[in-house]
Parts: sequence; structure tokens; C-alpha cells
Amino acid sequence: MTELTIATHALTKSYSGTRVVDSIELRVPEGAVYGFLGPNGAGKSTTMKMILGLVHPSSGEVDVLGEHMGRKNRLEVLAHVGSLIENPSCYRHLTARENLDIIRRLKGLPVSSIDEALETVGLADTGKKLAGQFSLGMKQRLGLAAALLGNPKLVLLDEPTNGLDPEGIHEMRALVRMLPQTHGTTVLVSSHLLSEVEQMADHVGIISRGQMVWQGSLKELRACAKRQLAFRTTDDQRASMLLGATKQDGWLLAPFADDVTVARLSLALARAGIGVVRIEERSESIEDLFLAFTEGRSL
Amino acid sequence: MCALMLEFAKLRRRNVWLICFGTAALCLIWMASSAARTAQGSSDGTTSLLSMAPIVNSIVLTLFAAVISSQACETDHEAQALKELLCLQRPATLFAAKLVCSLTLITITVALETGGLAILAAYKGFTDQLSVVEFAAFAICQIGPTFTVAAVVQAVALRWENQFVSLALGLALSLAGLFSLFFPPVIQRLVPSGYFGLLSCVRMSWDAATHVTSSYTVPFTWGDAVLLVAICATVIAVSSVWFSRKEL
Repeated sequence: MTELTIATHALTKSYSGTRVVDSIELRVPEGAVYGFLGPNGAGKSTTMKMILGLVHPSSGEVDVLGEHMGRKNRLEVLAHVGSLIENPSCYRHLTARENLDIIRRLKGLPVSSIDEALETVGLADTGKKLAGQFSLGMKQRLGLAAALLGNPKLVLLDEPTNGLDPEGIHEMRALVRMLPQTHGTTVLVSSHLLSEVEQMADHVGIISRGQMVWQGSLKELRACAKRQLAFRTTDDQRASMLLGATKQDGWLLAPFADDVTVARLSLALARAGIGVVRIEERSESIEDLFLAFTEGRSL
Repeated sequence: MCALMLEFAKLRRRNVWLICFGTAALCLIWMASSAARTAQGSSDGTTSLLSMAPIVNSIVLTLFAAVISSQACETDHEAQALKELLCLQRPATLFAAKLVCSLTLITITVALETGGLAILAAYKGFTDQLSVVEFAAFAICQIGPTFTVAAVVQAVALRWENQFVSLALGLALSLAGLFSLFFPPVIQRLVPSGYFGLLSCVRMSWDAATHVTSSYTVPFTWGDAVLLVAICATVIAVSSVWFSRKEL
């Protein structure tokens, strides 16, 4: 069984009686890039803050790196965790190196760890340039460097591509993707963009209105997609009766079938004097699945 | 100690040392202008100088405390660093480090001011020279109210990201401290910056008949000192607990 780097148990947060996070059971496997997906305001940031102990849960528990997180051991556990929540923290009047030195000293790491982190995010040559003069992308990378300082076992990134230009987004995704291989780091990355999670993550958790509506590997999510056969014939009315199909947008949609069955169906149509113009395999996109999950529709 | 050093590292390029030297210089210039009117070799020159201190310090040191305390908190707010810092250090440690950072800057500024006063008194040849212990006691009586103001402002500066609130509070305390000096002690005790006057061992009296202002010394008011310590401790305890429970 895969070890879990993060496991939450009925994690709940309420504000004035409203549950913004409702009994979340997050399961982040070790060495995974876990995409925490949900629309804006779904409760992603609050959940991540509760994992870090920055927000106190109304009820429920959090296990991080196999340790039950409590007030007493919180800092000991978080010494092995890097985070970038909402916006990258950055002292505008300090250089990149000086910014990272603050985190380094708090983590008790050697000075060389700064070079390593700056090298990883591509900020090694910023020299004496103050962080206030950095572009948004550079600030985001500086935030990531702070999170990666000392090669933590777990990194939490809250919408890390927010505000980045396409090139910056591409670089950030590449960085996140390579972390488990290069540093053995488990990554929990939140996003409201499905395409982003698809490109970065191998595991997905979908949260909607504070509730976890689906969780598993990306492969399993893809397997949830409904597959159908779409026919276009010379006589759709008779063909639909023969195939047990429904007509939609000029196509006859029949349940998915294997190759042999499809061959038999096309022969049956031919024998009935119905010409088959086109047969297509249709698969529900992950986006459709995401919308179905977040809107509470059945698959 | 590490947390304190980090606070100073964060304040790098923030001109805090310039603010310290500028504040001490401003206090000294103000008091030197008063000393200039006192005759060379006066027998109560130093006492007269010290009698000016509550007025000068209730304005200048109160504002100084507000500025440095606000700046120590603003650096983290502006950098949006609290979320990151509080994953690596206890809220109480961060809170205490900021307070000790302010205390260090206050102590250095008051030491500069006190040293400057001693030099000024010697330069003017005043015959009522104070001993080192008396000057140290004077310094401690300036540090106490200044630090209490810093603690009050820090509580507000950590609560609201917009530092206008904390600076406005500093200005209000400064004016309240100044005006409280002209009210009975019971009113002075209500304002942290009013303790500059309460803890001063030198008082002024004005003779209506001769129109002459003279200075005289009074015993140190231990009761007010204890009250100030109690107020300061309460402010620190309450705001520290609040900060520890704050959700980010």
C-alpha cells in the first residue's frame, strides 16, 4: 500500500455557521504531484492553510508525513514542508539571496542551500537586484525557491501559476512536474484550471463547495469518462431503432462497444439497407467530468 | 537571539538607524536650544535640562516608538511573509522578537540622547552634574514609556495591515502625552506617554509673582513605575495571545 504524505480526517472549517470546508478526506500519496482542483472559493486555500496550521480546523484531524499534526509538534513537522500559499512572500527591499537567507536561518540550513534553491528556479544570476524590481514571474519563482529551500519532503503550492505569463506558466509547470523525480518531493498543488492540473499532476482531488467530490489518480479519472459510439447513416430513424441509439446534434449515439460488436452492427445496418456514412468513438472529456463533479451531476 | 537577528535582517535598507540617530539628534537640538538660554556654569542647569525632557520625549520618542514598531510589522505585512514565517516559528517568538527589536532601537536612541545631554551639561559647565547612576535612571525612565507605546502600537500594527492606523495611534498618543502633562497625575496615568512626566524626578514650578520658572527634584515615584510595568505587561500579554490565535 502506498504511504500517504498527507491524510486528513473529516477536516472541517466553519465561519459563522457556514461550512467552507466540509469533512474533507484528503489522501496525498508519497512522491505524487497531487492536483487539488476546484472552482474559486471551493475551499482549496482554507484546506491547505489548515494542513499548515495557519487556520485552526473547526473539527477533524491532519496527518502530515506520517505524523499527527498538533500544536506541540507542528513546527517540527513543518520543518520538512515547504509552502507557497496565495502570494509569494518577498521582502521588496532585499535581494533574492537575502530573502532566502531569512528562511534558511529559520530552517537552520547551510548557506549552500540558497544557491541550490536559486539554481533550481533559475534565479541564480539576480545578484544585487532587489526583489522589488523583480517581475511577477521572478517573484513567484523566488516564492517557490523559498518553498524548496532545504529540499523538503512535501511542498504545498497554492495556485502557483497565478498572474504568470504563458512562458512563466510553462516553466512553473515543468518545475513542479520534475520535483518528485529530482528531489523526491511530494507536491500538493491547487488550481482552478483543469488543464493545468492535467499537465502537472498524476493524482487529482476535486473539491466543490467545501466537499471532496472525487479523488484518485488521473488515470482513474480518465477511466470515469463515459464512452459512446456516434453513427451517421442514410436512415437515422430506422437505424436508431436497430442500434437502440438516441439522436443528438445529427448523430445517433449508442453505448460504447468493442470492435467485433461494431462490425456486427455495421453489417446489420447494411443488411437492413441502411448506409453507414460515418462511425466515431466519442469520449467524455475530463472537463465534462470536472463540470459534472462540481455541479453535482451524475456521470 | 536568532529571531531578533532576523528582525534586524528584515529591516535592512529600511533606514532604522537613521531614524534612531535623527530622533536622538532632534531631542538634543530641542533641549540644547533651551540650554542655550541658561547661563554658563549655572548651578541648576542640568536639572533645568532634564525638566524639559518629559515635554520633548512625550512628543518625539512617542512618535519614534510608533514609527519603528509600525515599520517592524509593516515589513512582514508588505512582504506577505507572515504565512511563511509562522510555518517556521511560533507566533509568540515572532511577536517577542519584534518587541525586543523595538526595545533595542529605543534603548540605543535613549542612550544617545542621555549621552548627548551629559555632554551638553558638561560643555555648558553646569555645576549640578549628575552621576552615571542618575543618568542611567533617567534613561530607564524614558525607555519605560517609550517601550509601552511601542507595545501598544505593535498590537495595532500586527492587527491591521494598513499602517496608517498604527501611525495615527502613535500621533494621537504623542499629543495625548503632551497635553496630559498639563493635567493632574490621575489623567497622566491613563496615557502611556503621560508617564514621561510621572517618572521624571525633576519638576518645574512657576512663580506667578516673580514670573520665574524654577526646577526642583522629587523622589522617584515607584508606584507609577509599577503601574507602567503592569500596563505594559498587560498590553504585551493580551496582544501576544491574540496574535498567537490569529488565523492567516
